[in-house]
Amino acid sequence: MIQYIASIATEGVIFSIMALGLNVIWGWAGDFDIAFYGYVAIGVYMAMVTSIGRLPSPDQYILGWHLPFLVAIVIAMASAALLSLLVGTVALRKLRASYYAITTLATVLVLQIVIGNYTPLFNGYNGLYGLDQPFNDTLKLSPEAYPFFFLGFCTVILVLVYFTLERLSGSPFGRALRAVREQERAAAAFGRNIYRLKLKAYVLGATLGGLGGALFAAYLGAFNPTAWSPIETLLLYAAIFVGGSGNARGVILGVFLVSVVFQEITRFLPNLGGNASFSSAVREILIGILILVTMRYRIQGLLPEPRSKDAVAERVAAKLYAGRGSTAG
Amino acid sequence: MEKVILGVGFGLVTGAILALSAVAFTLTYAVSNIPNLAHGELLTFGAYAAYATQRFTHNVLVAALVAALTGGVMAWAMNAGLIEPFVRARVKNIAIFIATLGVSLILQNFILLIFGGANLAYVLPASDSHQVGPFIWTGRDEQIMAASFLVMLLLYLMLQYTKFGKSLRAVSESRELARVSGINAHHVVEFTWFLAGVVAGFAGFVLAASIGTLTPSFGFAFLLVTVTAAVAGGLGKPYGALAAALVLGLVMEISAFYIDAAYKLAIAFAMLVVVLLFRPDGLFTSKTGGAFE
Repeated sequence: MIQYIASIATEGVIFSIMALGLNVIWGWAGDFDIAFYGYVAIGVYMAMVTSIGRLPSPDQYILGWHLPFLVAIVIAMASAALLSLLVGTVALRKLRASYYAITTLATVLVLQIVIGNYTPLFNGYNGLYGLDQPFNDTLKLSPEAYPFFFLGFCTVILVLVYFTLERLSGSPFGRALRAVREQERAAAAFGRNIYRLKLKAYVLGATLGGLGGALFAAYLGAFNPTAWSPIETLLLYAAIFVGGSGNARGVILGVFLVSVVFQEITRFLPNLGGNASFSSAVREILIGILILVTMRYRIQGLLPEPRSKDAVAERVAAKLYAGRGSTAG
Repeated sequence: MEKVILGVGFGLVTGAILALSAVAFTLTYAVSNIPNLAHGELLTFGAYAAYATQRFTHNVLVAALVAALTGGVMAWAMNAGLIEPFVRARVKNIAIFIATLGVSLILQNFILLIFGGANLAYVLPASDSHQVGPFIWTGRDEQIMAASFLVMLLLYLMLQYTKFGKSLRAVSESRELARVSGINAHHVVEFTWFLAGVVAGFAGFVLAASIGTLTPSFGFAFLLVTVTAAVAGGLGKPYGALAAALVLGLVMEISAFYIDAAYKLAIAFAMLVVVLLFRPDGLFTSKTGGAFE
């Protein structure tokens, strides 16, 4: 039982890292990006091909290095960053809202088709496997103890990511991004370079996606293209919406509510009618309903984004609104 | 060259199916300004309704009718139950767009619950391929193209010459202006969704008949190609969507002769990205043209 809890907790921590990355793109910059899981996938793949060495043929893939896992993580992050730089450079230039979303959806599907069919890259639809318990060559932990070590390792990374993002969020960069999200033209009028700000946020988010992917690779041990469809990105979004877009604590809460609690509760549903996909179907229906309800009634989520604490601006605003009376609503 | 001609033959069939779906998608966009990401499920529901009907009645025509009607009712319900209430509650457009993605998730899994995830197939009469001029088509291909042509012709006549068609064009230009000119915009929007759903449901049946199998996600898989055609034609412009659907069908099928057919969809999506970047208002739009140009 405690093994099981450790496993779920690890999954939640890894999803939190991914969701925090996506939250930079959606919560801070306001771009509804559906390609995000593509960066997670690139992270997974790159972490694998740089650390598992060569599998026996007929499996084929690029690199096949046997690097330490920490180096593999860095390579995974860099690869996701590079890919997102490429996509963002093109897509963020003038596309917005639904046009942008559709473009990124197309991008991730192209990626999936190419990786699935072009076997020399990442072994096509058969996928990769063989990333077992990184660090355990030196640690020599027992199979019972290792999951707790890995949970701790992921948690440390989550804490690092959390504090880095919290700092960035209040920095001029984070505040400028929010200004762009709220009113692109106004931000441009104040001399902000919209495109560069959005691109920076996009690459930062995707890099965290790659980081999450690298950890996910170690957690799963095996990976193939059926494991990452646009739906996976949607599940991360569901977590962010429910928790609170733009609020890091809200996002983590959302991940544990949606990706973990929902996931695990529906796993214990009785299997009605001999339908093998019963529990997963019920889960996705519930998540769909959750998205609808949040969009309609509580778009800010359970923990809304805190308002900025600029004392001067608040005083000015208070004066302005006091002067205008009840018509201001 | 022979390959290109063969590809044109297959491309016309694909284009005919795609045109149905893309025109339906673009019509709902024309009146509501929301890209409906649950559009693929109109096709899926139509196809599965036809499947269920055919098992009981053993009649293909009845099955096709039920597919169309199911699509129509579903689309009407999407508008009345989701789009309109959300618009009335002043939900932001991007949030409504995301909500349609949620609806798509719900509906796909609903089908998965009822029918299971296995591949299903209609019982259709065997249909051999034969040479027609330079092209190779099956009898079914010809029926599909004829049906699609007929639907397009009816839609054209309806949009150009009936009072409803004129009202629809007016509403798509500006709902407010249409309303002050005495058009019952609410009814026009509702009926447009129903009509688009009828076309989409029928497209689902045709698509399933053409590829031979149907799965819970097959409509969603077709959604992106549909969106590609609709965007390339200029969102909200039915004639543009029709033309773009034909072009896209040709590009996909001709490319399949030169590059691995598995990349067919990748080529369509790459085309979408290129169109969005260079001609985001559509391939066939002029600066002065109206919405229905």
